[in-house]
Parts: sequence; C-alpha cells; structure tokens
Amino acid sequence: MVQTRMIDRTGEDSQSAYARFAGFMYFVVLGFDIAGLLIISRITQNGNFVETSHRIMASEQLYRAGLCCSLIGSLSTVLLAIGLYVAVKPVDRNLAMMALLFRVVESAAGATGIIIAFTVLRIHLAANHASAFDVNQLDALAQLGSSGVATEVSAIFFSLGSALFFYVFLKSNYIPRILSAWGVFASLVYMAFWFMSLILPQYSATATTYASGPILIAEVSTGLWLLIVGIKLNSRN
Amino acid sequence: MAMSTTVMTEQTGEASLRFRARTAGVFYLFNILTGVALFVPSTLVVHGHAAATATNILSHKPLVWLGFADNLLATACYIVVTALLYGLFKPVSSSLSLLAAFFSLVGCAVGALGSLLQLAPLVVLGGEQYLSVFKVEQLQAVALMFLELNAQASIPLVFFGFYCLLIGYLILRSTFLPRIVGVLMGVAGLGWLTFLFPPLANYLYPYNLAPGVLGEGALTLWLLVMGVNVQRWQERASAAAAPSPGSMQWQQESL
Repeated sequence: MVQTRMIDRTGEDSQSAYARFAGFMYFVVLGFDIAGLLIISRITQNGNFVETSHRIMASEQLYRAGLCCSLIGSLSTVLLAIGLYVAVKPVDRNLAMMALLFRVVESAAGATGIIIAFTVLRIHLAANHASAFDVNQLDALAQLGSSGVATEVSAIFFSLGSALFFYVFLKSNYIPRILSAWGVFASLVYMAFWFMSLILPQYSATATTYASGPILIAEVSTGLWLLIVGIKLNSRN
Repeated sequence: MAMSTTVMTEQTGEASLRFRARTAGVFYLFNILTGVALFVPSTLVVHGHAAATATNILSHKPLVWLGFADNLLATACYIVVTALLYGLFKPVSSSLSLLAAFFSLVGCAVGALGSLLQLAPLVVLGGEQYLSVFKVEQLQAVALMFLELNAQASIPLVFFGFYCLLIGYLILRSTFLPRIVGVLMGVAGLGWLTFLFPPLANYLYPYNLAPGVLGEGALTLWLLVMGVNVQRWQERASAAAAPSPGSMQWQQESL
C-alpha cells in the first residue's frame, strides 16, 4: 500500500515536472521564433530586391543566425510537445497523442520552410554577383521561394495541436478553465485566419496581425502559469 | 504444466527481444551503408561552373537517380531503426524514448522532402518544351543551385543530433547496453549538432562526420553481434510495467 502511494507520488512529481518544463519551453519556442523573425525582418526591411540583397550580403552571418534561431524554434517545438503530452496524457491518452502528432508535423513543416529560406538566401547572394539571371529574374525566383506555403501549413498544424492540448487541459482542470478555454478559442481563431490567408492571400498580412494577438496571450499566460504555479493534479478528485 | 508454459513464454520473449535488437542492428547497418551514397550527387558539382556541372549531371543520370532512391531507402531504414529502438528503450524512460523517436521522425520527414533537391536538376535539364523560355545557361545555373543546396541541406542532421544525444543518454541509464556505447552516441549527437550553424559545420567538415560514424557504427555493431542483455532488459521492463499513477488516479475516480 505504502509502495503504491510512493509510485503514485513519483508519477505525479514527474507529471508536474514535465508541465513546468512545458511552461519553460513555451518561452524558449516563442523567444527563438520571435528573435528569428526580428533579425530577418530587420535586415530585409522594406525596399526593392536589389537593396534587400545588398543588405543581406552585408549581414550574411547575422541573417544565417536568424534562420538558425527559427530552426532552434522548430527543434524546441518537439520538446514543448513532449512536455505537454506527458503532462496531460493521464487525462486522455488518445487526444494527447493526436495533439503531439500535429505539433511534430508542425515542426517538420517548419524545418522544410527553413530549407526554402536558405534557398532564397542563395538567390539574394547571387544578386550581388554576375550570374546567368538578370535582377528581375532573380527577384521573381526569390518571390517564388518566399511565397512558399510552408509557414501557413506549419501554422495550421500548430493551431490544431495547440487547440487539442488546450482542450485536454480544459477537461482536466489542471490549469484555470479560463486559460484553457481561451487557448482553445485562440488556437481555432489562429487556424481560421491561416486558412483564410491560403484562400485569400491578399489578406495574409492582416490575418497574421489579428490572429497572432490572442494566441500570443494564450501561450504566454499558460506558459507562465505552468512555469510558476504548475498543474493542480488533485483537481479532478 | 503452468511452470513449463511460463518458461516457454520467457524463452519466446527472450528470442523476440534478441531478434528485435539484431533487426535494429541490421537496418542500422543498411542505413549507414546506403547513407554513404548520399554524397554521390555532390561529386557531380564543379563549384562555380554551371555548364560543367550540367554536363556531369546529364552524363551520369543513373547516378542521380541512384542517389535519390538511396536517400529514400536510407530514410526508410532509419524509420525502422527508430521504431525498434523506441520499443527497446521504452522501459528505461517512455517519455524520453518517445521524444527521441519524434526527433528522428521529423529528421526523416524533412530529409525525404529534401531529397527532391537531388531530382530537380534532372527536371530542369530535361529539355522539356516548356523550359525553352529559359536560356541554356540559366537552366544550368538553376541545376547547379539545386545540387549545391542539396549538399548543404543539413537540417535533418540537426534533428538526428538530438536523437543520438537522447539515445546515448538512454543507453547510459539502461544497464542492458554498455555505457561506452552511450558515451559514443552522445559524442555522435554533438558531431551532428555542429550542422546547427552551417559555417561552423563547413569549417569542421569532414572531421565532424567522424563522431557520428563512430558512435552510430559502435551501436550498430553491438546490436548486431551482442544484442542486448535480456535479463537486465526484462528487469527494467518489469519495473516500468507497474501501474502508472495517472491510470490509478482515473481508476479511483471511476470507482
């Protein structure tokens, strides 16, 4: 009996530890993703293809570091997903596994997008030397690469996985219901906006701006809660 | 009667475990052997000379197809290895084993998609009518770019780096495989992780490949020749098979 209680206690400790780890990983993923976006957008800025290519050439190492930040964000997603999976697995193993698989596919799609981004980098670098293509042709090639839908596909898989994890949290009462309910809502809104940007690409920028707010609030608040307070395991009893 | 049934079940379990360990070793070996051919397309590249590279590609078409097929075969073998090692290390830590498996699967998915870069030069230089709007030197430049990108598409290796690190750690904790193999796998993981920053990987190349070959080669050989210590594996499996706290919590609720 005592032994059973000890095993139970150890398992709960492990579940709580993974939940705190997931809280920490929320910030690691957000931090690297945002750092990658900021570095790349700071270098590219607004301007024509030639100006952008010159700026990228002048800061090539920094640009590559920005892409590496995005890659680390993609890698960290697997760690975050495992942390969330172990934390909520006892509530509903199947839903937790489904959410985990969606987040893993998100990571694969994100990494594929980074391969495309490295291709675009080579096109920009080529624009600084004599090449078989004129500048307009290289511009068209770069735009072809930049408009790859890896980001959209990755975001849709992310929002499905995120909605499922928040739904399992909602079922469990491990965290306040307002946090998990907001997470489900924000994830679904995010998914709807990304689908809209696939169907109506002219509204892509607007979609990103409006849909990012709610999911950012959901991830930061849940991440903070998991990291500081942790999960309330006896809430179901 | 019941006693002999138990003994038979145990013997079948031991045989099955040894078989799974050796199968993992066989597929790991296939992966390493087929993985060597991954570098074949890069041998066709003449850096900075698109026309010479295009001539190489067109005169070695079967080699390009072989490289593509080989990449997919290596990926398929690694998926089998991943599934078998997941089962093998599950008794050590189901969460870490699952995490390792997912790192490997993401690497495999990205690698399989990246292998399209090997085929793209053949399409570009294929001489189809719709490509006639481009000048010959433009098509040659694009073909060279695809091959150079393929040579640098090292993103899957970063995922495999984390996989090797985790497998190394699981081996260290396992007791049914030698710790030195775990250490070598950890070092292999660090070697693959240099590809996280391509300039560093290029600077260390080809020495950064050595830890990976050594570590993964050592694990492959050990699995093939020695398998695993079945008795210790079963001890870990019995310990891990105790009812999980989560399931007990839910059983209490349903009661």
